[in-house]
Amino acid sequence: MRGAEGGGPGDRAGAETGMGGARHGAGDGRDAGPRPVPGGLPGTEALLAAALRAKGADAEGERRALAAFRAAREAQPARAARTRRRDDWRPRDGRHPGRTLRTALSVLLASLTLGGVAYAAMGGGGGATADDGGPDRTRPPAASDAASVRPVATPPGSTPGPGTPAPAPPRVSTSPGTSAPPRVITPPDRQDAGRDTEAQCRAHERLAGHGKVLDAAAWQRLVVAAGGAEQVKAYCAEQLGLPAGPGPSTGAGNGSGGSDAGNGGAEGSGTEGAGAGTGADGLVGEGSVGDGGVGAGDVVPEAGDGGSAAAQVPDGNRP
Amino acid sequence: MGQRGEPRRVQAHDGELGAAVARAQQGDEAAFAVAYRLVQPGLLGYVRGLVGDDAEDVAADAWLEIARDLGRFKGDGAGFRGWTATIARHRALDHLRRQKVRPRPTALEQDVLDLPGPHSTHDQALETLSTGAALALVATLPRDQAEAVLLRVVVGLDGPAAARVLGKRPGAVRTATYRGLKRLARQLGADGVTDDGPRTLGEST
Repeated sequence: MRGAEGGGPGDRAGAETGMGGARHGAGDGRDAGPRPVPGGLPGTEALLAAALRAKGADAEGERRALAAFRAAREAQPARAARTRRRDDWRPRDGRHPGRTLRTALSVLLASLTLGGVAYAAMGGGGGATADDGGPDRTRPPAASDAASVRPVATPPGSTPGPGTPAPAPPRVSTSPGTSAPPRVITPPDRQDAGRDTEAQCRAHERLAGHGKVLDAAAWQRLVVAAGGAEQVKAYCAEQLGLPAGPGPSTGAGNGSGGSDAGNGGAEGSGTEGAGAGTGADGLVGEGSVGDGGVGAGDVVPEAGDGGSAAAQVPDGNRP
Repeated sequence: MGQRGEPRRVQAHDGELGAAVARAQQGDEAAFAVAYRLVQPGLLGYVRGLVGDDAEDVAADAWLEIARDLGRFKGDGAGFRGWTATIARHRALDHLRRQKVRPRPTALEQDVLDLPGPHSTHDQALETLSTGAALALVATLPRDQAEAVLLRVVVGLDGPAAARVLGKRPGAVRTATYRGLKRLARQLGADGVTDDGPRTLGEST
C-alpha cells in the first residue's frame, strides 16, 4: 500500500498512473481487460501485464505515427514494397498446406506408378496363366537379360522390391544365357495350382455328398475358382473333361500361346524394370517421382539396356 | 503453465487488429490509428523493459519504420504484433548500442529507488506493484528470460512468435518464459520485490 503511493508521483507520471489498475484490471484501457487465469502463474502474468503495458495510447506518439503513415502512403506508389522473409508473419498453418499438398501429390503419384507397375506385372503373369503353359511360359525369351532378372523379385509380392533390381541387372546383363534361373521360380506355383484344382475336382467327385468336404479350405478355394458352389460341378467337368487338361495343356499351350506369353512377359518385365526404377526413386528421395517417370519412359522401348539404366537411376540419386 | 492466458486475452483483439492492418495497408489512415492504439501499449511496455526511459523515443522510431514498411507486411493481427515487436526490438538494440558508446543512467536504476517495501503476501504485492517496480523486477531476470516474459506477458505473443522475434528456438523461449515467470512469482510472493539482483537488462547486450 505504502509503496503504491510512494511510486505514484515519480518522474514517469504516464507510466505510473495506472498502478491502481493492477488491482482492478482495468487500468490499461480496452485492450487489457481482466485476463483469464488458467492456472500456473496467472497472478504474476496479470500483475506484470497490468503494470508494464503502457496505459492508454499517447496522443503525441500517435500523431507522429500517423504522420509517418501519411508520408509513407505518399511515397508508396513509387516504391514497390516487396515482402521480405522477415515481413511474412502469416501463420505457419497457412503455409503448411502447400507443403503437405505437394507431399500428398508425390505420394499419390508414387502409389499410382507402383500400382500400375503391379498391375502390369500381374497382367503379364495373368496372360501367361491363361494358356496354363508349363515352365516355358515365363517371360524369359524376349525380355533381355536385364529384365529377365526382375521376375525373381517381382512375382512373390506384386510390388517390385525397390532395392533388389538395382544391383542385380548390370551383372546379369552380360550373360544373356542365364535367363534360366528366373524361369524356375514362378511356374511351379501355377502348375501346382492347376493340379490342385484338378485334384480337388476329383476329390470332390469322389466325396460328393459326404458333408465334411465343404469345410475344407481347399474346397473353399475350389468354390471361389468355380465362381460359386453351384458352379463347381460344371467347373470341374470343364477342368477334367475337356482336352485342355493337365498333360496336354503343357505341350499344346506352349505351341500356340507360347509366343504370346513370351511377348506378354517381355512387355511386362520391361515395364517392371521401369517401375522398379521409379519405386527405388520414390523411396530414395521424395519429389523425385518425376525423375522416375522419365526413367520409366526411357526403359520401356529397350528393355535390355533400359533395365540397367533404370537400375542406375536410384543409384545416382542416392547420395 | 498458465502461459496461454495472456496471449489468449490479447488475441481477443487480434481479429480487430488484423482487419485494421489490412485496411491500413490499403491506405486507410483511421485504420492505421486503430492498429496503433491496439499495439502501442504492449509495444511500449516491451521497449520500456529494454531501454527504460527512452522507450517513447525508441517506440516512435519503430513506428516510423512500421509505417514505412507496412506495405511489405503479410499476416494477421497476431502476426502484426510479432512483426512490430521485431522492429521495435531492433530499434531498441540499436539504441542500446549507441548508448553503450555514450553511457548514461538508465531508467531501471532510478526505479529501484521507487520500489515498495517487502511484502509478505502475493496479494499485497499485486496491489502495490508499480510500473517502475515491475520493470525493476523484470530487470532482475537474466536477459533471455526477461525478454521472453515481456514478449509474452506485455506484448501478448505466443511462444512461436516470441521465439521468432528473439531469433531463438520455441522450446528455449518457452523454458525461459516459464523460468522467468516462476522466478518473478517467487519474488513477488515470498521475498517481496526488493530482491537484489543484476539490474542490467538494458546493458547486457
